[in-house]
Parts: sequence; C-alpha cells; structure tokens
Amino acid sequence: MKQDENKTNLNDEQLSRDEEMASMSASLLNHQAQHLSAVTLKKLAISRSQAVNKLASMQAGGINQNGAVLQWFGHSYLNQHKIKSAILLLVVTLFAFLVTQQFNNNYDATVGYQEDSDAFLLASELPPEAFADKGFDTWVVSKQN
Amino acid sequence: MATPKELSDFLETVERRAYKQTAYAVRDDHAALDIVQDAMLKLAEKYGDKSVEEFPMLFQRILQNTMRDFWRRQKVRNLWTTLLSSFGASHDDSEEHDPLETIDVEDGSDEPSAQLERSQTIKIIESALEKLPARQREAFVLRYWEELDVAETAEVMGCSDGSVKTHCSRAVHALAAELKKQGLNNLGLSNLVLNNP
Repeated sequence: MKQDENKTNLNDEQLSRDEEMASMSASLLNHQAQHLSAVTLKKLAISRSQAVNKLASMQAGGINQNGAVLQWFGHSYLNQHKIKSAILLLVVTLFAFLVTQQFNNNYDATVGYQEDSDAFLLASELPPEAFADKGFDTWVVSKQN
Repeated sequence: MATPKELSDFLETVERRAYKQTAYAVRDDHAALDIVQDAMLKLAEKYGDKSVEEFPMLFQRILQNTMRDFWRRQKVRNLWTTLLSSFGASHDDSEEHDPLETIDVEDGSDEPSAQLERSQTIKIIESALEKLPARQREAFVLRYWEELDVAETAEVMGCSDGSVKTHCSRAVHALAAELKKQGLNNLGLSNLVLNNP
C-alpha cells in the first residue's frame, strides 16, 4: 500500500517536472518568436494591413454587411445552396413554359389554315376529286372568260 | 463588433507566434506566411462582427483549420508530384536564398554567449517539437504556448477534454525525454528563462 503511494507520488512529481519543462520550453519559443527576420516581419505587417483594410471596407459597406434589410436579398440568403437551386429551377421552368407557348401558337396558326381549307373543300358543290383533275384549272379559266 | 484598430492590435500581438507555430507544423516558412495571411483575412472577413474578446479562440481555430487545408492540398500535390516525378527535375532550395531572411532582429540586451546558449537550446526544443506527431504538437502549442485551458484547447482542436489531456501528456513526456537526451534539464532551462528580458 505504502509502496503504491510512493510510486504515485513519484509519478506525480515526474509529471510536474515534465510540465514545468514544457512551460519553460514554450516560454523560450515565445521569446524566439519575437525575433523574426525583417523580411518576415514586413510580410506579416502587409498581411495584417490587408486584413484590417478588408474589415474596414466591409464595415464601410454598411447595412448590407451587418444589418438585416439587404441581407434578406443579398449576402446571407442568396449564398445558400438550396435557394440558389430553387431560383435556377424556377427560371428554367419559366423559360421552358415560354418556349412551349411560342411553339403552340405557331402550331395553332398552321392547323387553323389547314382546317379552313378542309372546310372549303367539303362545303363546295364540286366533289373533292374535281380539284385534283388536270383539266379542272383549264375549265375554270375558260368559264371565267 | 471589433473596430479595425482593435483587429490590428490583436493581430499584431499574435502574428509572430502564429507564424512560428505554423512554421513548426508545416516546416515551410513561405507556406507558413501564406497560412497566417489566409487566417488573418478569414478572421476579418467572416468574424469581423464578433467582439475582440472572441478573437483569440476564433483565430486559433481558423489557423488550425487552414493548416489542415494546407496538408490536404499538400497530400494531393505530393501524389501528383510522385506520379509525374519522372518528367520533372529536382529543385535546389538554395537557388532563391535571400540573405535578409537569415538576419534576425536582435534585441541587443544579452551577452553574446548567453544569446548563443539560448539559440542552441531553442534549436533543440524546435527540433523536438517538430518530431512530435501533429495532434500532440497542436495540443502542446495551444496549452503551453497559447496558454488556453483544457476546454478551450478541446474546442479549437475539435475533440474531447480527455483527448486533449492525453495528447498533452504524451507531448510533454516526449518533449522532456528528447530534451533530457540532449543534456537539458529543468535547471538549465529555468536559467535561460530567467535570463530572458
């Protein structure tokens, strides 16, 4: 029992020493990090300045960046995949509908003309075969004269 | 909401540490600079509306995620490089050596011998840190260098408190063993720490 306690104490002590060593190592690394080359510091300063400019330009953008009004129509919602897909589907459906309507109108006009011709042939006193006869046109012209 | 001035002040306090931590992780100074820059821009762009008190945690999380993205890209690039290696020639790293890169900003407050001793010790620590597995290094950096508590570290790392404790314990053991192997002990380290300005 006492041996176990001693063993645990030794382990704790060792762990504590190791943790102390880790903390001191981190402290030295931190010290080292404060002494970077001039080029590296310059590049970091440029990066920092870019980030700060970005934040400043976003905040200058006003309500559409942070507020609620334009966000409904702009940034937040339109960036969502589902809404984008839905809008795309709606546009495609509308376009397909318009194209179909256009074709239908053209088709109806052709069919109407054909229906008128059939009605004329059926309502005529002459049989339909007479219009196919080769001498019919000549007879009509001579009749007119 | 943080002001640009507050963001600038915050970034100024963390950028050097962030750069060194990233450099230890990715072992490429140029990539480390790019990663830190990306993290800074993401913080400004995505979390500019948060208060400055939230920045340390958010920045650490962004930084760790950006590092992971880098490793993923690196993995894909390595795959292609391996596949196409027969077509390409090897590049010499010393070709684009810039002498300014090696000139450190000196603090001028120490004796040369103390500076030499410290720089040698730091090299040993850096080497030991680089040898740690990625998750252990991440845990060590966040707990001991960034001084986050276990819960905060767990949040940044995206794992449980128990995992953080395990990673930290293993990292500390491995680091201590490596330093002892190199002849460093607590007394030597504490002297160096105490001599720090």
